[in-house]
Amino acid sequence: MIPVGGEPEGGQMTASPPGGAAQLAVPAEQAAWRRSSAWQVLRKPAAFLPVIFLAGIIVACFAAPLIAPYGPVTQNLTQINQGPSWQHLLGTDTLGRDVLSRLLYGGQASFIGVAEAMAVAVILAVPIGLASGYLQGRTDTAISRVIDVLMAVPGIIILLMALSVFGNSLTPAMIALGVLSVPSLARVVRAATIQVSSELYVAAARVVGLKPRQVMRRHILPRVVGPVVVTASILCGGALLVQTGLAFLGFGVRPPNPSWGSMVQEAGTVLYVDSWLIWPSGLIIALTVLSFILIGDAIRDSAQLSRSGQTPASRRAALRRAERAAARVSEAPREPGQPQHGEASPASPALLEVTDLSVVIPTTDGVKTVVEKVSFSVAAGEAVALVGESGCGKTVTALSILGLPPGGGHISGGSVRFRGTRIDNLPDADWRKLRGSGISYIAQEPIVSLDPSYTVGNQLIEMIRLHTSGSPRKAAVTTTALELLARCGIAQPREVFRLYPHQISGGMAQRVSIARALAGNPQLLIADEPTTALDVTIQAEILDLLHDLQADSAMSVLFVTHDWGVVADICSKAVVMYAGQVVEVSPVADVLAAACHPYTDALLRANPHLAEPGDRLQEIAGSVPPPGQWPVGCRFARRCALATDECAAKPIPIKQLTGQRATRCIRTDELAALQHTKDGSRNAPAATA
Amino acid sequence: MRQQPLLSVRGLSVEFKRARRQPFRAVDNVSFDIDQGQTLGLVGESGSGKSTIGNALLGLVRPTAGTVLFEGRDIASLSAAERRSISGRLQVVFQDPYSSLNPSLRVGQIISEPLGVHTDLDQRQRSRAAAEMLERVGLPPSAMTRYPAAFSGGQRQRIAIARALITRPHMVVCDEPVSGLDLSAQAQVLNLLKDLQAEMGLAMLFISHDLAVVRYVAGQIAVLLRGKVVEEGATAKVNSAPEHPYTKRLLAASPAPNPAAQQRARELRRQLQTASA
Repeated sequence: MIPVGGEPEGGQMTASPPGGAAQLAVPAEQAAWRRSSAWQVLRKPAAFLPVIFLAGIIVACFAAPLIAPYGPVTQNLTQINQGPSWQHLLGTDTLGRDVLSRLLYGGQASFIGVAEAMAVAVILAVPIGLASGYLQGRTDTAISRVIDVLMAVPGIIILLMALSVFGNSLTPAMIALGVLSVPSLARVVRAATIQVSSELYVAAARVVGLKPRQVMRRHILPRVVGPVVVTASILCGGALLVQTGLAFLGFGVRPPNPSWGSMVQEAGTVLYVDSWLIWPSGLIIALTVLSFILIGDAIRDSAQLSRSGQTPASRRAALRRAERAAARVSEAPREPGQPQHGEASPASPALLEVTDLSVVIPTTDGVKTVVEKVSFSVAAGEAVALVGESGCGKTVTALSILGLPPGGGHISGGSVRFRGTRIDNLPDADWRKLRGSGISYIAQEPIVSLDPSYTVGNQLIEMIRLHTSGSPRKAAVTTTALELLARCGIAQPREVFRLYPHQISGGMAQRVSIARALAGNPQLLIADEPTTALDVTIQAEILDLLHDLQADSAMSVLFVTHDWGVVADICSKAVVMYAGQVVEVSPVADVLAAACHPYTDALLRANPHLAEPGDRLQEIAGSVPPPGQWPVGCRFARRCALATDECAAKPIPIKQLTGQRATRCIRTDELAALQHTKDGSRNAPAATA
Repeated sequence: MRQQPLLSVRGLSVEFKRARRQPFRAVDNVSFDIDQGQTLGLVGESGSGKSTIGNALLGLVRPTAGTVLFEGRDIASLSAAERRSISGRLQVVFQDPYSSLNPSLRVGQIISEPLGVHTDLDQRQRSRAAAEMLERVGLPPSAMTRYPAAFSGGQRQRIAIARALITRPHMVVCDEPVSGLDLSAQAQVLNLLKDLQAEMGLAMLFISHDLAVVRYVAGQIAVLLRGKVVEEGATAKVNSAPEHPYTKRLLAASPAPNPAAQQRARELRRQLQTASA
């Protein structure tokens, strides 16, 4: 199982911290059906109109005795086959009966028939599907076989048999139709049940000791209702059409009583004499069926919409977009293999210079600032860590540097300079013109970030071609690709070259991602939690690889992480973010020895690595305030042991300290004193022992 | 004479059937004991079978061989009905706080559900007990009527802990309970688990891939590699003097927030690599 990101959110669900967009996917999906309650569905016109139409028709039909101008079988042979008039709004039929009245009365039979069919289908299919999906094993096999056989039975024959055996009435036919709909509905229920059953809360319910019946009723059924409603609404439309077909064949409601189907049939017989008569009954059937289907679609769409942008597929697509765009940035007409270092313009010693970068992202509660005035720099050959908890804006910062703020956001202020050239706010086309930029990107989940439909080799070749001018020979490109794989520590590059992403392990996939990122000889590699989803021993190997690559090629790395162990392993400078701001910038060795911001200090003390068994870990009370709820003053003040009134009064500027350190704190002296006593007390027993 | 352990696992094996191939042996002849009030840390990487062991104890997968003595009774292959009678005393906290809570139930319903199975309490008493438990895990009473979606990962894990502990179990299987959480939330949940363990005399099987976390919570450690326990012992000993090469590799790979230590670990890793190559 892939861990839920390495970066679970810390804020409230309601105000999605954009940095945690990916992490929020799960709850959003789980809450999908709940949120897509009736009102949500109704707010869209595509659903609103059919619901109103259908409700109106049903009410009118069952109110027919009150509102119909004539009786359903009242004949007036002096006025046959008339078109619409004030007397007969929809005209009259071959026996001079009022079409509107017959439609209204006839609708009763039609809707009752649909309801019968659906009731039978739902009552049978839901328990069958639940049992099949939840109990699995032999029950499932047996039920599935029966369903398969039922699906192979020709439905219309069964219906005609039911009509002939039980007399020519609609009810047995509709019950038979309901039974015939059971297989398709049961399959939907079974599929939904299997999906829900794999959720941990179902396992938890079993561990609690609930009986299978209770687990199904309490924990699975509510989640299956959505798909059932969608399928049933489409089956309703189908049932109405079957009724029409049967009536057309002369089965169902007995004349002279009206039904929509029999009215179509009657109109059909006089089509050449009276071409009007087919319209009222034909249209009402078509519109009603359409309404059923549109309502089903709307319910399904609203469930999908509430998890839009968060499905694995779209997430994968977003990651791929990010990598492609990163590749575009690094697109450069130069010889592969030729290093580009030392080209940085002397005016700007930093390779990457981020100045007062602010990013806003639209949310349901309006546009929110998620990254505010972030400044830091990455020198050539330097490895910088962007550290913080989830929801602090570190991923948003990293993606915004690539020109790809997530979640439809945009850079609202500040600048990003790469080798002295501004690269923020450039239109897509201009990214291409930024020749020789050389920024690459690797994502957290390596397998997700590789395209599942191409081999490893193909994906590398694509990148290499993108980075090579002219049209290099295939053999040369393949050789380069194999070299890249070997350089990334893949022992059998030729074998891996031919494999698809799903055939390789997570560690291997991350090596391939790195190889792909190196295809354009980047000067800067932005790595967003590249080892979080991996096992520790694999993580260590990937870190060793990145360490060596960085040492060999003097490549700069911007490493987004929440793990101080990883920071200590490969970074020399740490940029600590909290609630959208940079709160501390320090050399890694210094910050680990003594942090100069209380948040960093607390974060380090919460790390079980540094704790002695038996000690209590230091907690940070509360959680990171989400965007939109940031305090005016110091954003950490509410959780800080050292906070005073002054801290909360007004925004705290970032303050330069000695030794290339900076902090957004006005109580650094108190912090230092506290660190002294705490570490002193911690060291004391160890010294005596 | 040694007191009989609360949980005693002997020769536990779990195999999964595979189409047209040998069954996959996820857990291979694993044995361990857990005493009352003690914590055993089960460390291993993905695919090592650590979660399968937890699931076998909980009755979620059926062992192929071996015995699991819980309070002196073999629970390895109980029927579903027999399993229900012990489920109040053997509970679980899962890794993923998102998928482990039913999104369509209110927090109060989630926490009080086990009481409906294991006690005769009426609705009012159940919800009072749930409110007390909620307070014990550090959440306000107002949480009772809200849905899980309104809570952060750390808060959800507290809800899962409340559900596990409301029947006063004697043992809890914690399957990666903090690996989805941020550092600060992780510290809160670890402290809470330790406090509750001391208060209720709980035994814990603490399954994790993170040595630092296991080292902090567990008195004993068992290291798993491909379904087998390769090293077992007191935490301090395994930590300071690992014997099995895999334990050494695992220790060298665990990143410590100390650049000098990391530098040494990297050299050690290289040595181990050349030694094994």
